[in-house]
Amino acid sequence: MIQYTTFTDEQHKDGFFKNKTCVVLDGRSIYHNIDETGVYVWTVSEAIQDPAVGRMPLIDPSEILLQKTEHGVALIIAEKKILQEPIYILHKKMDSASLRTIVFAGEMSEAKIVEVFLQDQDIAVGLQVQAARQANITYVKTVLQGKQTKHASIAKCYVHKDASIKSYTCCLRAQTTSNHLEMNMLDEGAVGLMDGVFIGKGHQKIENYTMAAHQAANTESFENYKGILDDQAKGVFQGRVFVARHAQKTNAKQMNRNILLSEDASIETSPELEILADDVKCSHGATVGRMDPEQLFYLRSRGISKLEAEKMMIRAFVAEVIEGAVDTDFLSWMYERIEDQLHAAS
Amino acid sequence: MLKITDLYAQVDGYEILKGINLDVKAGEVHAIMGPNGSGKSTLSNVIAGREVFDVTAGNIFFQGEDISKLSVEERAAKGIFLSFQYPVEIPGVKNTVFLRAALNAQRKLQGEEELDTAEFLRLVKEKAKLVGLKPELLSRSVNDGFSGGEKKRNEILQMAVLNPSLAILDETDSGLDIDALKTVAEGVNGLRSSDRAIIVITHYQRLLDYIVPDHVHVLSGGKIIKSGDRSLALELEQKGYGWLTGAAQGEVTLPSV
Repeated sequence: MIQYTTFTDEQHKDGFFKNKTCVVLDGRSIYHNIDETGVYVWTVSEAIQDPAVGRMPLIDPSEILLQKTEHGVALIIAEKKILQEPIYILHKKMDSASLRTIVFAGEMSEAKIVEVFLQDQDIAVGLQVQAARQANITYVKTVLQGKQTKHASIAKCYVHKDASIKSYTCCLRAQTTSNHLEMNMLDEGAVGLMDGVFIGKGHQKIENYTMAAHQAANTESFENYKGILDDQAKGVFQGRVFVARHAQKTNAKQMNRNILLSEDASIETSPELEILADDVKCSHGATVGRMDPEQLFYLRSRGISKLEAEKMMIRAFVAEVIEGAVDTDFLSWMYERIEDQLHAAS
Repeated sequence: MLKITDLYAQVDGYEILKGINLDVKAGEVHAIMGPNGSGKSTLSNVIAGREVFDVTAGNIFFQGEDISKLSVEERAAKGIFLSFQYPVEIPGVKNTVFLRAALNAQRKLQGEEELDTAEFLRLVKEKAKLVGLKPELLSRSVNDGFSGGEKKRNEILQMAVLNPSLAILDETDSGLDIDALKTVAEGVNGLRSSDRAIIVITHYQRLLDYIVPDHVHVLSGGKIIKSGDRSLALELEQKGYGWLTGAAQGEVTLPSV
């Protein structure tokens, strides 16, 4: 059952979401306050019966036991619908250990969707995002779960002709996070962006496995993940780029930069390229380092405290990957969550 | 204003400063000259409080207070400003955001009210004009992609905005063409006042044609081997450092003032 509602303060404990357009999943219930034509909130079971949405390749059942779950929400954006304001999908307490999210954007539509995982329980998520011809979709995922919980996800994005999907993955809280993200550029002119920030403290483990699959000629993908790891936290970044034989003139860029804040923190980073076409531009790179002492000294020599200087540097470090996401309102909220995470007791 | 007594400092166990004595009074401009590797930059970093340098003996008094134990930012808040030889690029941190954070942090430590955005921007724009920094550089990341001259002007802009009691200019002339040198020097001269002291660290005497010092010291082998007035700088230009350092390495010890 999906209900249209005007949210009460009780349903919006976090002040930030108070005046936002939201879809809230709480237990078995789904509430939303979307009051616009051309945007539909469906259950997953409704969505997969739709002839258009149903044609979207579904997640391989062998990958995760998600095919059984029809819990979750589908956002359908009609052709040519341009959404100005972002839609927030908030996951609170769940009845189900797994759920699915479907975003289906019709031709020439534009939307920004931010999914926030707030629940205090383990969760497995299957996500599918489809951008039809000339659609431009931004999809942000933020993991802010309970400290002791697990988050596992498989996300598949399909970018059609002259369309784009910008995906931002922000992993903050949860004991272990494991994300598999696949960006498929299916037709000419498709552009896929995969940016991510992960911040690990204590014994957190955060893994990101990504795949940019260029299935057609003249497609582009841009990927930039930034990790900050403190205490004994572990990070994994594995980025694959696949270029099909006929996907000539592919342009693929991949970068993963990491800052380790303690001796015991670690990161494993590895690019994997599988390029079958011969006329392509592919670049990749990875760095692991500490906070630059020269920059720190420079800021402090102007009277800025060590703590404040470190905050400025962290902000500058992550800014490159999230600056383009959503809007300034979201960004300042995100920076606050990032700073909370960095300064939380581990 | 600044009194350094018998200061020894090392980095990674390697002794660089070997007994520095220096007395700088309010209103004075001191030049510290010396060949490469003599310890000039170390001295400026040690005064600013950089932790990689270990002070093994001696004291640094600033306005009568021993600052040896104070952190970098505490020294800055007390009014010590170091203009870097190689200003650091910080991509992602906007110049004005940085400068405002610095100014407000210092004001806070001094118990003053923070400046609001409008007041701050007015101040920065006025000072940028004074030091000849293009206004568009204010909204760029700190020193990111700036030319050598722009970086040095940005240092002097920070100095003008932060209004320190003691400014140490570390090789401010390096990498500047003559026109840039003149504007930077004008900016510095505009900040000369009876309640401020300036230490100019330089390899060449060229800068001292524009920022005329009251006292000149020659640093070599981690010690001040000779002090004098402006004529000392001119003499160095004619005779080179060998004239003094040769003596320092030999038997003759020159009196240090």
